[in-house]
Amino acid sequence: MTTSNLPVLLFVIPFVASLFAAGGGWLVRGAEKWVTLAALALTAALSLLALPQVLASGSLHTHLGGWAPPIGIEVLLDPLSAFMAVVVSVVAFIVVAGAGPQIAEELHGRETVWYATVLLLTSGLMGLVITNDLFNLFVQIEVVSLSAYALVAAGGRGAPRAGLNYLIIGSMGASMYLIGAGFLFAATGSLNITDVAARLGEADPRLALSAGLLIVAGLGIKMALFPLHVWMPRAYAVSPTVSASLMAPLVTKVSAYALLRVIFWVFGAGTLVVEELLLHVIAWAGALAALFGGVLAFLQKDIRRLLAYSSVGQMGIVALGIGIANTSGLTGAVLHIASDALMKAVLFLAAGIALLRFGVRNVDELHLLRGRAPWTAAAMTVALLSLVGVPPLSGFFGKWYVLSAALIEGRWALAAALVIGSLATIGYSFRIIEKLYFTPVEADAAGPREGQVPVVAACVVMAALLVVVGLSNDWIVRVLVLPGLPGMAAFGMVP
Amino acid sequence: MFFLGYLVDRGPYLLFVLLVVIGVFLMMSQRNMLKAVVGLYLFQTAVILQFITISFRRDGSVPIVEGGLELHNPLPHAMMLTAIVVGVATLGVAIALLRRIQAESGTIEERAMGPDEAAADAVGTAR
Repeated sequence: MTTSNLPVLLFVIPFVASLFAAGGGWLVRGAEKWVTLAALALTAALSLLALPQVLASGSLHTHLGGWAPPIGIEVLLDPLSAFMAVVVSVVAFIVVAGAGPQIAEELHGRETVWYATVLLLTSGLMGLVITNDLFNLFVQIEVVSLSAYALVAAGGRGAPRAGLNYLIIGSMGASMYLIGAGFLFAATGSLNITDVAARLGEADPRLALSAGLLIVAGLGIKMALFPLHVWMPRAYAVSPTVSASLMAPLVTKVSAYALLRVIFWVFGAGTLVVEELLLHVIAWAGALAALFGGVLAFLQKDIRRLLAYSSVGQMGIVALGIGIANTSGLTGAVLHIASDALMKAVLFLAAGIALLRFGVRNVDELHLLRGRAPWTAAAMTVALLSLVGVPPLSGFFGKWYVLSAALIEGRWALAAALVIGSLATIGYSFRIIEKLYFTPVEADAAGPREGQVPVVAACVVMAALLVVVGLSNDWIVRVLVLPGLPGMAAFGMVP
Repeated sequence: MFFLGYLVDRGPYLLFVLLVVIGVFLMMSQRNMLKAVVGLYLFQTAVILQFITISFRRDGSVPIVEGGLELHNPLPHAMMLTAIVVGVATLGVAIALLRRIQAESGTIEERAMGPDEAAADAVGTAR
């Protein structure tokens, strides 16, 4: 065990930078953008630096204020959180760097506050990833959520209402999580995740079970786990497209990570009865999400609502992986969190180009992009194919691991839900691809062309990353994902 | 007699449950958005009550270590200070949003605002 200050920097840098972005943007016009980009680049660089260090020489611990756990708050960078930190910081950097022109266009005159809020959001997400304390986790959830409400409500007509709706549902989720954490505190007298896990075995199983159900429900709301997803399509359909481009890839994914962390690091070492019931709940919610998310997405007209429902389906696959809880399922869940972050970033940025450049809001009008925005269309197609699960792309592998996990355990109903949901995914993806490439359009030279260079570049880079991650999948799973998974054998849930 | 003893023992927990139920009911049932926000705030207050109840020890004293005494646990109080701040921040954002809704549509009554475009049902929009 190594003590280091590096993990803390990962969330302190964006946090402090958000003050500088707000102040700097007020003093010098345009300064906020560069402060934000510098802070996000630094965060991404540090997390990329930390990952090999953690893999080589073990987890990095920080005891805030020098108080050793279980009394003090502990920040922990183990292989899993280091991997997630890389995903979050890199995706946030690419999206914010690329979306510059869209931000200027959509939030004209309000960029300073937007950038400062984005830094707060990133800070909360990083904090959520690396904390090892149940109450600190709640605080970071609320930092993320409050920034997210503001980012949604920054949109045009209807956005404040969707933002308030999100706020009420989201705060209810956070409060439920907090009640659960309170039960765990009452049962074990500690809040440090490692310490709670060690003491949970002696606690009253009924108390632990209530805590577990409340925490699953609370985090389920945050990760838009079916049927707790209602806030998400509303929010992403009316928020500024740039907010959705940043939030859709990150907020729900990091919440799913938090669920994984609590289930396996807190309850994993506790009583098996509690654990099994919680896993059943998560697996079945995930199966329903994978099924209905896909079907509901297929029925949407609005591109961003379609993408939001698609996220519901993909989060279902992640939850399914967590709920099945064998090595293959967890590998799939972690891998799919990373893939879906990239896919949703590409798709929401592309939806932003369609809306801002071509005035296209619905899937039916996407043919306007045909031949005019070849790069956007290509990036979108790659992301959609990855969503469908076409082999060399990274989306395939996450799904494959989860599906084989279900088959290994012989849980046919879950596997069937996943497959049917995937068929619906093929349906809505090809609805879009058909509009982009195969709908006849009259050839006219006039009209808007390709989106702004940085936005398209960000889409293309992330689409390329999908291919790279897919091709190097074996290495990523072996070197990055597997070391981070909880020691499954210890909980008696092998293979 | 039994009932009174039960109330004394479990009173704070019953109050916690009652507050949660009232809060959730307000959030779910009210068409007036301000009342829904009030429900949310009640819910959050209930959680604070729950934590403070956990910290209580029978015959306990204030948590200043003087040796030998049973102490109330000070940690939940420290945590709840943070939770109160979080609750106030949430309330602030909610009220700011309510003001914008009021400016946008002239009312915060959900019924008076008519169908919410963004909330249009999934299947409904597809047709």
